Amino acid sequence: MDQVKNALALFIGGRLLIEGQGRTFVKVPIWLTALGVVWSFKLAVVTFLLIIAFGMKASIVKA
Amino acid sequence: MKNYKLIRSMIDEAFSGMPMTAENLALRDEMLANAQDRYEDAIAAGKSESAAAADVMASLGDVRGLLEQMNAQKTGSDAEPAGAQPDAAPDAPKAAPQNDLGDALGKAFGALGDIGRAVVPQTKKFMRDVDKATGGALGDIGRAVNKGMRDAQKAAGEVIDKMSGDAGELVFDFGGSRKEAQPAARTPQELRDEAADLRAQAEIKQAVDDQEGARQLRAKAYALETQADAMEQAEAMRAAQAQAEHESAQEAARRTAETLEDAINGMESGMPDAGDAFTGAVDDITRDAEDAASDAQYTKTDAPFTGSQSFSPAGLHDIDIQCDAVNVNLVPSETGMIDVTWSVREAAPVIRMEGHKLIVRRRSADAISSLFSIFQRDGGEITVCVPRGYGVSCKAGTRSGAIQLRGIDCDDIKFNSTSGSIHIEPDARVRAGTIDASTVSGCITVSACAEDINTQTVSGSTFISCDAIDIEADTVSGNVHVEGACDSCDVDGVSADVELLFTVVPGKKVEINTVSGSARVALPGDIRGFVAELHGMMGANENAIINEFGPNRYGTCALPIKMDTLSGKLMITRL
Repeated sequence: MDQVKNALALFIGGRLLIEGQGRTFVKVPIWLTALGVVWSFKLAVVTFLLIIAFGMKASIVKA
Repeated sequence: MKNYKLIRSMIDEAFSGMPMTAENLALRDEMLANAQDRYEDAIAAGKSESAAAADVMASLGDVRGLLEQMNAQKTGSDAEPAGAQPDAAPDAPKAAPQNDLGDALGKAFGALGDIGRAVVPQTKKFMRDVDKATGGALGDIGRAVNKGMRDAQKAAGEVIDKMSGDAGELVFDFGGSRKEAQPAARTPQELRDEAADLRAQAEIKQAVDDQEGARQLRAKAYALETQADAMEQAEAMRAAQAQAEHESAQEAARRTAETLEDAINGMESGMPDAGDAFTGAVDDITRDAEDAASDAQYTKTDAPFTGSQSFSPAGLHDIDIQCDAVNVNLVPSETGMIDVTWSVREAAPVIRMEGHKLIVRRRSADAISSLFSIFQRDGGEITVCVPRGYGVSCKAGTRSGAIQLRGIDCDDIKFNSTSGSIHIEPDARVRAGTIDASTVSGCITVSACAEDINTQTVSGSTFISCDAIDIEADTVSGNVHVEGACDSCDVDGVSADVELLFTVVPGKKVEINTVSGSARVALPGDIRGFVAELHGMMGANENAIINEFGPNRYGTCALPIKMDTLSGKLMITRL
């Protein structure tokens, strides 16, 4: 139950931060990211592959 | 050999003042090669060195007149050099305008901001009407959502702390193993070897009567040799600097050894303050070691292209710099000349004076490298040292490189960057003209005495400390902090928090528009009159709107303060 609660808190209150070699590329709420993935799965996969290809750093941070 | 140098200097002199186009460089190279051949032939034929040099110089004739005639014809026909290649000459200007992605993005986001400005007031009015019609139900929902979000954020923060061991973030690094994949830097000797190869190929082309091909190869070889010269000069400068630092470190060590010796002698002779002297000496040693370590770190560089160029500052009026991932620094000159030094990864920049304008451009402008440079953080550094007293207008643009201006007396300043930070701190003794800074995700810092300050950013934060007439800051999600004095201040944001601290009461107006960000205006306690219009969707309850000055005080000099928000908090407080 605690894990579900934690996951939900992260989903609603956390932010996804992606940095391109030290510079902030994007910083968005995780729920908005999830909405984007639902909106266009293909685009999300391409973006994820690009993030790996460019060696970026993704982190989940506090809002 | 001395006589051959005379021939070389004669040809160089003939070309001085000529535009350094690829054709002129190739022609100079060809003339040098021909002169050398003739000189060696004459020596081989049994002539003395001076006689051989005299023959060659006589055979060159009126080179200068011929060159001027050629260049005049070219200007008259307004023809582009047919064989000119952008890479062939180090100073060849690029005629084609470069498509600046930063500018395009800036314009796009600017247009988005305009749409937002048009739509947001209407939306706010509509929301207020709906709120009124539903008897405040919408406001209740907004408050509940806000409270829920705050609770969720707090809970998420606790979860992140728990899962990351108080590091404050959960990190997934996809680039940890890719740091070493940098291209190997070429040494000056390698460049010279390549230049020698090119010259040999040029000889072969000339032997088969391909003059144009030989000319191009010689121009490339010349460019490589010039680059090798610049690298060797920079290396020599670094070595001299390191030597000087080494000597000063030795001197410091000698002094501290003397201090230590004195302290020990003092302890031996029972001086009461010997203990303090000993502690001081140990502190000195520690400080020197730390300084040496930080210097060593600072001087470490792996940028393959380094060099410097100086120009006379006479009549200097404008500076125009466009780069990609290169950090740009504009600092005061100590020598009274315009000194441009660079230490970059891609290729040496193109630097030239056009009338009273200094122009610095990146060399590679192809779309692929331009796109990739957005993600490149460390592209090197270009430092432009500008003498004081010229009141130059500065314009600079980068994609990911930071732009810094410090201590220069300026007229207008216009900087833009995509993800690089902008720092503007001109000479505070001279009031600058209009300062205009725009970024997409880079932070903007302006600390200046200026007429107008305009900043635009999407997600970068803005910090302005100033004595200005008008301040205008536009942002989407980056926070805005303004402190100092001004006549009017206008801040527009979407989710940005805004904080304005005025040491002097503004004369004209203060206006803040935001959607979900909070806004705080701090004014001096002795303000005479003000008319505050604070609108928020939450209504005028004590949590959403705070006004420490109480009801409006009307009068002829009353300061209009307008603050609009949908869901943020509005505050007017005493400074």
